[in-house]
Amino acid sequence: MAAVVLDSLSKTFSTRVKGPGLRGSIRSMFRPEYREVQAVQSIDLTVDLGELVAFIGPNGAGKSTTIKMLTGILHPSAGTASVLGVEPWRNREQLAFRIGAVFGQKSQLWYHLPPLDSFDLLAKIYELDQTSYVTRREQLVETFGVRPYLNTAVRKLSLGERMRCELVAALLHRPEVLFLDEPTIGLDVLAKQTIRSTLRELNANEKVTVFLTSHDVGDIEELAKRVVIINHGQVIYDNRVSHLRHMLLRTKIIDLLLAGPGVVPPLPGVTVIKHTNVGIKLEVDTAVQPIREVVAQLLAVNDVVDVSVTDPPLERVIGLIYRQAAPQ
Amino acid sequence: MAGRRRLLAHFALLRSYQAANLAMAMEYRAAFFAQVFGMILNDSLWLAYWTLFFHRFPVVNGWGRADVLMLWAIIATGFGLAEATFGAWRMLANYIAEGQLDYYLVLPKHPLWHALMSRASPTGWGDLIFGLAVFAIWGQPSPARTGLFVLCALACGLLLLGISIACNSLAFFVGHADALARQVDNAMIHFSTYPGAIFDGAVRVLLFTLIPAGFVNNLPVEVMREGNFGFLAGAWAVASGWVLFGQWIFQLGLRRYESGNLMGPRL
Amino acid sequence: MKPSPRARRSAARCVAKYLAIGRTGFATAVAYRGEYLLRSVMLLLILYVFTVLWRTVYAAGGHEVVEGFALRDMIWYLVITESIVFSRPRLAGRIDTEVKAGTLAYTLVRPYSYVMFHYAQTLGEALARGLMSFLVGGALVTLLVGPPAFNFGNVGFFLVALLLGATIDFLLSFAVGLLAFWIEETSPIAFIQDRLLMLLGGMMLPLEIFPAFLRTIAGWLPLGMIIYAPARLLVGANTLRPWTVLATQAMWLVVTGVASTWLFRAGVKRVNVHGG
Repeated sequence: MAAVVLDSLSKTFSTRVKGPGLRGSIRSMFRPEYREVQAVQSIDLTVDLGELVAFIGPNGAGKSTTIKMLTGILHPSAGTASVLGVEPWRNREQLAFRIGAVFGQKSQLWYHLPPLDSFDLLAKIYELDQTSYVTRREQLVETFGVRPYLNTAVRKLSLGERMRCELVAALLHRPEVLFLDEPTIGLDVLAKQTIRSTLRELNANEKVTVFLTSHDVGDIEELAKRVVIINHGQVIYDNRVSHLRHMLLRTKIIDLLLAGPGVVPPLPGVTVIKHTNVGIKLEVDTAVQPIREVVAQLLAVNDVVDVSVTDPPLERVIGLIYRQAAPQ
Repeated sequence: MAGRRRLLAHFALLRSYQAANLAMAMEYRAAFFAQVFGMILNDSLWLAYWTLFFHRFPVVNGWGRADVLMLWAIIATGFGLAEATFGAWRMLANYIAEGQLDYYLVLPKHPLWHALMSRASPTGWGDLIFGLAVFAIWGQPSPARTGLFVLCALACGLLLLGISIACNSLAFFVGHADALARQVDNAMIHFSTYPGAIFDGAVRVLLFTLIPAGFVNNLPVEVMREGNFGFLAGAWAVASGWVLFGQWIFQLGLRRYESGNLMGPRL
Repeated sequence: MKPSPRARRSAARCVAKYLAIGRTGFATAVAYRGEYLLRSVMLLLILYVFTVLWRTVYAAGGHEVVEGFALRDMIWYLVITESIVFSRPRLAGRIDTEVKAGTLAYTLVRPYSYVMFHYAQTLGEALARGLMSFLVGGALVTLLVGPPAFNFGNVGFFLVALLLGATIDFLLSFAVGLLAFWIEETSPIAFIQDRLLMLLGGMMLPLEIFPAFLRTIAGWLPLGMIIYAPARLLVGANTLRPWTVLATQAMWLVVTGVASTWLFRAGVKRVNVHGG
């Protein structure tokens, strides 16, 4: 059963182009010229109920525009989207009861009041029945562990504590689809882990469909099961995170600390990342060249002080994907 | 049926926002009371002015001191009510220009009214207290007069609200609409606070059309003194008309906003 | 003994320095003229409605002259008084912020120049804003009631009185700002000061309109010396004697000057004792 379906979804913005100076302003009033920017180009995507999808892409890739179309803030230029079987911009208020969104720019919580007050207000916004609201609130408060500061003004909370309260706020009305924008940004390692594990639990227990945008690789590795990479307004990669990792297993990074200038033997599948007076860093595609052979040759021709063979960071792989040209 | 339920839900929401705004005001009690006191003082300045003025010139075009005091009571009450319930009414243009509307668009409530009621300014309470006090002390309150007074104040508040919504919603269409809206709001209020009888000719026509302050600054004499219910009905009609018009402009603007061409690709 | 050439030069340099500061204040105000002119729309509204009001009063009562004012004089009086009030920069708030931020403490070594700095800057700004308001308001009023019938013989006295009045206002606002050394929120006091100035200072009504007892009270306050007195030298039947006005202003200058200095010294001492 599909929760979110995008079908050839496109969005083109036309902005008025104005020439410089006064003459330009006057001309643009009488003969306006427009510049077309294709923010989103024909995206096809299906997300099933209960999936946890990471939606990533560099800045300006079209992420925000897509999310805005899914939450009904923008309407598309072409194509369709449906969230829980409903077109977001056509039935926005109706759909709003069933979805939740946590955007970076605006907090759901009132800065000068304790989170509890904000929760009560949201209960009214979502017209929740009092008893079920309280039960649900208590359950979420336990799950996210925010009881100690339920009555402390939000401005006095740390970022991690605030984020957990934000998530409680977003889940009070039992949304079926949740849109999260950078939920772990700025948090310390421990806070990130807590939020990720809680979200995973929630997704598993309540089957909330989660649509997550992030720049944090850890979010992708530990939270999402599926990752969709978007760039230049198009989907470049759409597959399981494990598949992404599988791609990585092909690649290894060799880091050499040398006593003197280094020599890199010419081998296929080997790329030099960094070459200085004291070391060499190489990337090896092990499908082309077994790692054993590369290491052996390097040790043979270089005065090696230290060597390490590691998995490349996920970032690097994703960066490579970002840099791919848009598929035709 | 669904419409009625929705309306009730919005009223319930209003109550909740009032509670939340009050809680926040109490967090900063000193500032709250300072603002309330400040507004009362501000309004009292005009009370003093008119007292001095009418001491020297007892009657001006049929207006006496009691009438001008009634005018201020009406306006302060109406304005204060608007400020205390839909406190974001004069900053709607800013909300629109800064994209703060997105937050309200994702929530299951009417974006215009939700945005308006999310803020309740404490100065509004100052105006409200002032207005009611002036009526109580100098307005010769009786049950009938109190009823009339409330109707006048509400008409005034609605009219100011409607015009503000309409002008602020222009932010969907033009830049710097906030400055424009502020000037219109100021003009409306300023003209309203002077006896309607001093305006005649072309200006009088203006004050019943483009800047409908005439529907406010004639209330003390026409309605409170002369009992002209027709005039009161007219004021209510114009006020309601402006609110509906303002809402309509907002909806139009919102459709444009959703096409995204307002500010270019907001990636 | 004549001041040495060196003393004369340094005095000249001192004056030049503050003139430069004043010029900067003036230039800043002019740079923000767009914003300021938008505020001037309010001034135009105020003057227009006042004109309508007073026209009605004069016509209804069949008056030609009220307390020495013809209609034209009354409106031009308001142009001057409103321009003066519109020209005032929010000094008390500025001083309050500097006290709270502790920047004032850094200039402890030379309090003389701290005051003079603000004085020069405030005057520069006020001059620019006042000129802009007067030109804008004056243009409208000329259209409405015709050109002014000033007591042009008093122009010199008017300008000096304007300067002295602005100085008294400066010292008062400065003192209010200094209260930040002791009080958390000085804005209510500054607010009351502003409102009293508007009413008892004669911005909204010339003091002649006031009933006798209020005139007396207003007479005992320095507020009238800031707005009413300078304006009255220029507009309306000559009932104020220029030298009396200047002398009274000088007296208030001394009073407010002493009060501000004392407040300043006390505040500085407090900072030394309690820390910033």
